[in-house]
Amino acid sequence: MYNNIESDEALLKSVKEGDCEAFNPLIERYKLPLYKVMYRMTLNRDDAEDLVEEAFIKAYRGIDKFELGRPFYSWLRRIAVNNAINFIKKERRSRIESFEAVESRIRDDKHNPVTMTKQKMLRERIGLAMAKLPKDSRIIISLKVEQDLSYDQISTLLKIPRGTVMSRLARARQRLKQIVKEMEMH
Amino acid sequence: MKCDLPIELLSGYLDGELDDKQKAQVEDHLKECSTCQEELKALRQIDNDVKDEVFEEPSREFVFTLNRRVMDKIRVPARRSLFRFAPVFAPVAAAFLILIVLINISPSTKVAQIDDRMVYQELVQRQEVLVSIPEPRIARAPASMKRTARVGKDKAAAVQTEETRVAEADETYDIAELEVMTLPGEGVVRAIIDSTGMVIKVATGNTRIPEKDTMLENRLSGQQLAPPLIAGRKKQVYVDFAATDEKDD
Repeated sequence: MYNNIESDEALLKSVKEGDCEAFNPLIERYKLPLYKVMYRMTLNRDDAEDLVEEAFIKAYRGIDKFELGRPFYSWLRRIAVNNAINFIKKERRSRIESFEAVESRIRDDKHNPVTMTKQKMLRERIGLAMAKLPKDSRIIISLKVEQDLSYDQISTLLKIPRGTVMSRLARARQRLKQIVKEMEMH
Repeated sequence: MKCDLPIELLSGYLDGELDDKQKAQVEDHLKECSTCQEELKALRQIDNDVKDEVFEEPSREFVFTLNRRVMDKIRVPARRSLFRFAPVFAPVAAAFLILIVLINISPSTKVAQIDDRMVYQELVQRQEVLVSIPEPRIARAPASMKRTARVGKDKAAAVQTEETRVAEADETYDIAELEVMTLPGEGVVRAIIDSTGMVIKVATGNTRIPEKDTMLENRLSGQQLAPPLIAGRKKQVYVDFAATDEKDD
């Protein structure tokens, strides 16, 4: 049995040697961070959960390509993001559905001001604003701001030039700021 | 003052992704441009808000069962790999199993079958043999059974009962004790007597392959007759008992 004390490196070495049980602690370790990335990309809980599951399975099946000594989570996240991008291309409805879900949740909370602190309202507003962003903008903000990836890493991950990362990110921030401002005015 | 700083540079400055020259350019501009200072502050605030943003928590099912679901799926290929060639080997294995079953359910040497007489016929056609069939004491039966042994096509030739009767004949049961007198007068009783003289199969009828008569077999099977002898050796034999009237003898 493996536990959570084992390092990624040790666990991955065992996995590569054919012991699939060593993969279990890695799932436990990274499922929530990965869920957050997937949720940000799909804005849908069920889709995000499915994508996390798929990402772990793809990672396991491609474990031979993983080089020991490199950060596992970055590698896993790249697999997950690529998979999610393909998913989103096929499933364009998800953004609209999620947007409606977020909006309806905020509307409900507004009817219950006792439980709605100002801080919470602000965060909910950002969530709604993110949902209103175009898909590409939302993903790039998530990768930079939430996941703290470098421009080079995002460039590799999304297969776009570094200059495009820079300009797309700047525009996405501008747009997000504008949406939040509009929401505050209403 | 007119602001001419590209927004990409301000965004890149925020992320620490500019080269030294670009960084110096932005810092020089910020010293003089309050609009860009405000813009930078606003962008930083947006980033902080995004980091703090609540998102929909994953389901309990996800939290508690994801590990098991993933592990179940990644364990499966290992098991499947044993059966990777199943499409090729499965029919072969199935055929092999059927063959084994057929071999196991084929007649054992203990239980004689209807085809056993073929072996017997073949043997007799090649040489003169003495056949000893246990002699039931038919004289006492009102409608006795005249026993004949099938020896090739000539039933009578090979039956030399009196000469070859062996001492074991003393152990023979009277035919009356076999209670076959209730048989139809024109019927034929066929029996298989194993090498120890025990009746193990009984059938009745006039056809070449008589019908199994379970009731009669239950009555007769297990009865001990004298061991049949073929060329001096105890052999399992297939025997017809023809029911005839005593007066015809």
